[in-house]
Amino acid sequence: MAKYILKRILLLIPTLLVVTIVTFALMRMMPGSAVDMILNKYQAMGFTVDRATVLAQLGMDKPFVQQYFTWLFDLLRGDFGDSLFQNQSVLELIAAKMPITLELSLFTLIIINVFSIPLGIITAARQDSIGDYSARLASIVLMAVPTFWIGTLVLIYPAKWWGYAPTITYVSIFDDFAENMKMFLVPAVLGAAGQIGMQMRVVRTSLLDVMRQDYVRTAWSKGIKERGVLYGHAFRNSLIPVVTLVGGSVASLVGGSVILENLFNIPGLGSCMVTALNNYDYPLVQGCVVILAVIVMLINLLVDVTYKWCDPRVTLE
Amino acid sequence: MAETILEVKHLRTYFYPNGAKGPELRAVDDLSYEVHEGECVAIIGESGSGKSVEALSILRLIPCPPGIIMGGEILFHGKDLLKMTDEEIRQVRGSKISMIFQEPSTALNPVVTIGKQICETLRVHRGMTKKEAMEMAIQLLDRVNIPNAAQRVKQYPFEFSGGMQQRAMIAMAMACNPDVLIADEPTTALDVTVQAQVLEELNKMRKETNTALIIITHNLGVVARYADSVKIVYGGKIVESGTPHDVFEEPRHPYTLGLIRAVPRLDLPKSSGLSAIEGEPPDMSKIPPDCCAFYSRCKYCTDICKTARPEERAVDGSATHICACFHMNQTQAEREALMEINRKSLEFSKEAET
Amino acid sequence: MKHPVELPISQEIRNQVDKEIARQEPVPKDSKALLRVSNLKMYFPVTKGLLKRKVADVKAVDDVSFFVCQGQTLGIVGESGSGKSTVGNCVLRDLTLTSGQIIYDGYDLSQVSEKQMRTLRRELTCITQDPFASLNPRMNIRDVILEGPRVHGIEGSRKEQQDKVEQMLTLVGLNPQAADRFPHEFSGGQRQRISIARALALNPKFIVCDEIVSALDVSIQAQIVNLMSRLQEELNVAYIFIGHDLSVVRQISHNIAVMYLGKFMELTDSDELYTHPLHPYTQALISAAPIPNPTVDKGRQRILLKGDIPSPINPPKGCNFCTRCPYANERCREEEPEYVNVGTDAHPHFVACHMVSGK
Repeated sequence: MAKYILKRILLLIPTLLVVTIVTFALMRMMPGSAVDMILNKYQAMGFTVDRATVLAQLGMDKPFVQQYFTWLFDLLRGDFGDSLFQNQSVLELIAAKMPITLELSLFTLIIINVFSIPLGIITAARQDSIGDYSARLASIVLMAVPTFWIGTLVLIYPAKWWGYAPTITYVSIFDDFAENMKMFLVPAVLGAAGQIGMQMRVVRTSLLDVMRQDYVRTAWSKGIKERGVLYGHAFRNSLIPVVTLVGGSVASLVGGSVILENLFNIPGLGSCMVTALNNYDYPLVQGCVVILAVIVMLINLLVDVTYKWCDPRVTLE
Repeated sequence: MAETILEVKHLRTYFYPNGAKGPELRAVDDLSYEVHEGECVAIIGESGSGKSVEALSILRLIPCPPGIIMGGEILFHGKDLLKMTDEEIRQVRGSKISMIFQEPSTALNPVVTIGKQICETLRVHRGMTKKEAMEMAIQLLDRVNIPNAAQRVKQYPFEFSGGMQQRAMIAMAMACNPDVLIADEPTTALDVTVQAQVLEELNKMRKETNTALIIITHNLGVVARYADSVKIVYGGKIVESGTPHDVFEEPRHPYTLGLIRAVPRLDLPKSSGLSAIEGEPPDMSKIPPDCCAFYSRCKYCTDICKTARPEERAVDGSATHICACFHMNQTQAEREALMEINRKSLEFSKEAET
Repeated sequence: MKHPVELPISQEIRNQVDKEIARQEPVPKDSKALLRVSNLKMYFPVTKGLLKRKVADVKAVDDVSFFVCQGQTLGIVGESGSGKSTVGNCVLRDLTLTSGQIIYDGYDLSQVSEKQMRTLRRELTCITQDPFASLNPRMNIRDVILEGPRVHGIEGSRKEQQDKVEQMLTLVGLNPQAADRFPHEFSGGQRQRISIARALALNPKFIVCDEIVSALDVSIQAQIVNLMSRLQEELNVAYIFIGHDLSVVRQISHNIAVMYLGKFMELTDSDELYTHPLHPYTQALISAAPIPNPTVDKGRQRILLKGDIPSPINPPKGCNFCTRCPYANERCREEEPEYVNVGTDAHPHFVACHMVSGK
C-alpha cells in the first residue's frame, strides 16, 4: 500500500509538469495581455510609460520558452512570484485565501454527507414509503433550484423581514467561533443543497441495487437484524459510486465557488482567481492552478485508496 | 419413525411482477410435504418449477413486492413460521433453519472476510464474543476440510476457489447446529469433481449433527445417492414423491419418467438418441389453475387433464409413494423400458468389474 | 434423406479463397481430416508493474494436437480453467496463437489474411453457451438469422431471405411464424435453437459448440443434443463440442479429448473412452457423473478427488494432474508424462500418464 501511494505521488510530477505547461501557454494565448493592463493603468494615472520597459520589467521580452523555464525553476525553489497588481507574493495571497476556502469546503462537505447518506439509507430501506417519496421529491427540488437564485433570496428576505444580514467581514474560526459560523453557515448550506439532492439519490440507488444481491439474502437468512444487514453487509458494498461522487464534489469545492463567495462576500480562492484572470495577473493565476492541481490529484489518490478499503478485490496497480 | 420437525402444508406463493393488479404468477401452488429429524429430502425440479421459491418461502425470504405468500402453513416443531413476528422468524433464521445458496461467489459478501461472515451467525444467535466466535469459525472451517483454517478466516471470498467458497457456506450454515439445512442447488455452479466433494462434505456434516437436509436441485443424479425421500416438482406442485426407490426405480408420473430418461447415461453404451421431453417448460403466468401443468408436454394427455387438477394419490396403496396424475396407471410400458435400462446398467457394471 | 438445405456455397468459397491465396505455399491436403491442429500453444502473458513487464505465462493451451473429420464430432471435456474454450477460440482465430498450426481444409489459419479469413468464416462458425447474452435483444429473429448472410453480402432477394428464414427455423424445430418476434419472448431452449439457426444460416461445414447445453434444463438439454445430432446427419457438418459434462459430450461425440490445465490427458473414440478409461482423471470424471438410479449409483466405484484445480499461472511440476491424482508417485511430481498412443493406428488411444504408458 505504502509503495503504491509513493508511486502515485511520484506520478504526480509528470502530470504537474503538463499542468504548468498548459496553464502557462493558455494564459499567454488569451487575447489581451498583462502589459496592456499595466499600460492602461499608468495612462489612467496620467503617466506615459514605454511598453518595452514594462515588458522588460515583467521579463516578457524574452522568448516564451525561456519565460516558462524561469517561472518553472522559481516554482521548484518554492518561489511562486509576486502578484502583478496586489502588492503581495502569490504564496502569501494563496496562504490567506486557502484556509477560508478550505474551511468553507470542509463545512459544506460535512453538511452534504451528514444529510445525504442517512437520508439515502433510510429511503432505500423504506423504499416506496411516503418518506421515500417526499425525500426523493425534495432531492429533485434541491437539484433543480439554482444556487445564485436561492442565495439571493436568502440575502434579501431575512433582511427585509427581520433586518437580518449575514456577517460580511471574515473572522477566523479560532478568534470567534460564533461570528465565523454566522458567516459560513448560510453559504455552506446553500452550497451543499444541490449536492445533497444528488448524493442522496446515488446512495439510495446504489444501496437498493446492493440490497438485491445474493449476499444480502444470505445475510437475512443468517438471522441478522435489519441494522446489521444494512450497515454490516449492504452499506460498504454500496459505497463505491458514493466515494466517486464525494471525490468529485471535494475537488470542485476547493476550487471555490465564485457565485457564493461573491454573494456572501467571502474572500476565498474562487473570487481571487476570477479577479486575477480579469487582470491578467499571470503569476497569481498560474500559482493558484498549480496548487489546485496538486490538491485535486491528492484527492483522487485518496479516492482510489478508499476504493480499496470499500472493496478488497480492487487491485491498486 | 423419527419426529416430524418441518411440515409444509398447502403452501402457496404467488408473484405479481406487474404490480398488484397485474397477472399473478403462481410460483408455488398448493405444495405440501414433511421433513423428519435427520432426514435428507430432495426436491427436484427444472427452472421455473418453483422449487427455489418454495425454499425461500420457508424462511420468509421472498422479496415482497413482487412476491407474497398467499396461504398455507409451515409448521416448524408445530409452530407456524408464517404467523411468527419478524423478530421470532429472525431468531429461527440461521440458528434453527439455515440455508446454502447456489452461487457461492455471489452468496458470500465480497468485502467481508470469511471469518467475520461465519462469526456473525455465532455472535447473533449464540451471543459469543468476537474472540470465541473466531475460534469457533476456525474449527468450523477445519471441519469442512479447508486447509490452514486459521489463516483462511482472514481472507476474503475472492481468495477462495469455488469449491472452498461453498464449503465456507456450509460451515457458516452449520455454525449453530441447525435442525434443518436448506441447500438450494448447492453444487450446480461447481465443477464436476468438486461437486462430489462438496456433496460428500454436506452429507458428512448432516450425519454428524443429525440435521435434516433439504436439497433442492435440477439434477436427478446428484441426489439419488443421498436422499431418504424425493419430491419431483413441476409447475409449483409436487407431481410425485416417495423413497428414492419409488421415484427412481418405479416412477409413475409421465414427467418423472421423462426426466429420468432424458439424463444422458454414462453407465451404459451410447444410445442412438436421448429421449427428450418435447415442448417447453410452462409459463407459470399462463397456466390456468384447474388443469395439470404438464398436459401440453404429456403424451398421455386426455380431456380431463385440461379441465381438472390431479390430486395427489397413493400409488397402489403404498405408504410412501404418492403421484398426482390421472393416468399414472397407464405409464407401465415406459416404466418397464426404464427398468430395462437400469437392469442393463447393472449387468454392464458387473461385466466391467470382471 | 434429402437435404432440406442446399449446400452449393462451399465450392464457390473454395475457389474464391484459392484465388486469394494463390501465392501462398500449399499445405498438403489430408483426405480425411477437415481440421487438423498440431502442437497448438496459447499462452497469455501475466504482466506486472508500470512497464507491463512480463513475469509469467498462463498456459491456457499447452501443446495440443487433434483432428476432426468432415461430418464428425470431437468432444472436448474439461472443468473450468482447463482451457477447453480457448481451444475453440483459437480454431476460430479469435486469438493469435503463441505457436502451432491449425489447418482447416488445406488452409493454414494462422497464415491466411484477415480478408481470406472473413470468407472462410462462412464455413467455420460457432455457437456459444449463453443464449441470453449472445442474441441482440433489439433484433427480431429474422434479422438475427439473416445477419450472417448480410455481412457476407449473400442474403439474396427478399423472397430468398424469406425462404431462408423459414427454412432455418423449420430446420431447428421452431415455428416459421416466429420470425418477427424478439429473443426475450422465447425460453432458454428456444433461444439456443435460434442461435443454432443463426449459425446454420451460412451453411457452415464446421461449428465450434462451446458449452451450448450447460445452461439448459435436463429435459431441454436432451432436445438440443438430439437436434445437433440430427443436423450433423442431415447437413454433414463437423463439430467441436466443448462441455464439462462427460455424459452429454459423449452422447454426441465420435472422439473425445479430456483436458486438464491446458493439456490433453486422454484422447480416443467415445466408446473406448468410457469402456477403457486409462487416465486417472478420466476415471474420476466418469465416476463423478451422476446416475439417476440409487441402486446403480450406490454400486459404482467412486473416485473422490482431493483439492481444487491448481491455478494455470502456477501449474505443478511434472504431471499437471499430480496434485489431485490418487496414484501419483515421485516420478509424476518430477517428470512430465509423454502424450502417447497406446492404441492401434486404426483405433488410436492417446494418453499422458506414467502409469499407463509404463515407460
